[in-house]
Amino acid sequence: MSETTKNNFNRAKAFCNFDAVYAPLLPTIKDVVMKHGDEITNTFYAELANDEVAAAIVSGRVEQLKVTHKQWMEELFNGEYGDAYFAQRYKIGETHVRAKIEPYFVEVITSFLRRKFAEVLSDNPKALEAALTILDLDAIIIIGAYHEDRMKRMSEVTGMNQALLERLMSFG
Amino acid sequence: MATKQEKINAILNELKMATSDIKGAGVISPDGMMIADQLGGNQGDAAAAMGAALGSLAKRVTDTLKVGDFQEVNIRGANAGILLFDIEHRASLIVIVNQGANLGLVLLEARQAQSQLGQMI
Ligand code: HEM
Repeated sequence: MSETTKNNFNRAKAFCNFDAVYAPLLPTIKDVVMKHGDEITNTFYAELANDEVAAAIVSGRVEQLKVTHKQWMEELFNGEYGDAYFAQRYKIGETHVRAKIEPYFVEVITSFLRRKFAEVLSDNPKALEAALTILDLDAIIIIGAYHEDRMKRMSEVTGMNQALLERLMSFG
Repeated sequence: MATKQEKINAILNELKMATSDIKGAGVISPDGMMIADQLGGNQGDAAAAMGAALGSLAKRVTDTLKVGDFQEVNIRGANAGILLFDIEHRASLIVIVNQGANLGLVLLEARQAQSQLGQMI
């Protein structure tokens, strides 16, 4: 059930001409960003630790999460953003949904990452544009996984199928 | 030979003719689409969506509260009534009745239509 999100991901890429404009640029800035990889990742978890609820969620596994997070960040700059990329990112979204992490936390931490990218790429506006765009595309996927999960649960609790729910909302 | 659509419409027609208490009737898919519309007026799309929502929720309620398979819902508005009948979980029959309708007769006729539609849909 990732069709809606996949569709939105592909539409969002087409909207900003991502494959032609930004995809080729991203691998060229990987080293610049990853030079700050440890610092960004450490601050990411320090920021989360400031929130009582988020801190409790990551407690006891911060070191392990830092490894996966840094790897996730590296993959932003691999240059391949097709179906395999989408599927892998959607799985990450589903992991957060399953872990019952409020989407709010994903939003605020993405906002933090935007600020960090702006900081480390401040002297290269085109590179910053590319980095922020892939970050936004990843956010579309993770938040999409939450959205689809809500629709699925709504369907389960009401007994209404997805097509009917969409139809009802169109009357709003 | 009559098409399925014609047969469904014939059942609805017969139902409407059975008593003047029945103002309109329709058959709805679980997606909220009108399969056959003899409701009159111009609220077909909304009626189909709302009817399907009602049927889905009613089925969910009867399942959760373990009162057996969902069969029908009866809603009384100030000006008219709405009855909804399950058709083998594949569709619903919606019937609009006058205020103060003779529900005994209406239910008898509507359940017969429900059973006929169940064999067809
Ligand atoms: C942009 C935001 C985020 C990114 C890119 C990200 C990235 C990741 C990745 C790559 C994984 C490993 C997924 C897997 O093994 O399938 C992961 C797991 C996890 N993340 Fe995040 N994360 C984000 C936000 C958050 C936030 C805000 C929290 C907590 C408040 C969080 C808590 C966790 C936890 C607890 C796991 C492990 C879940 C499990 O294995 O059950 N993440 N994250």
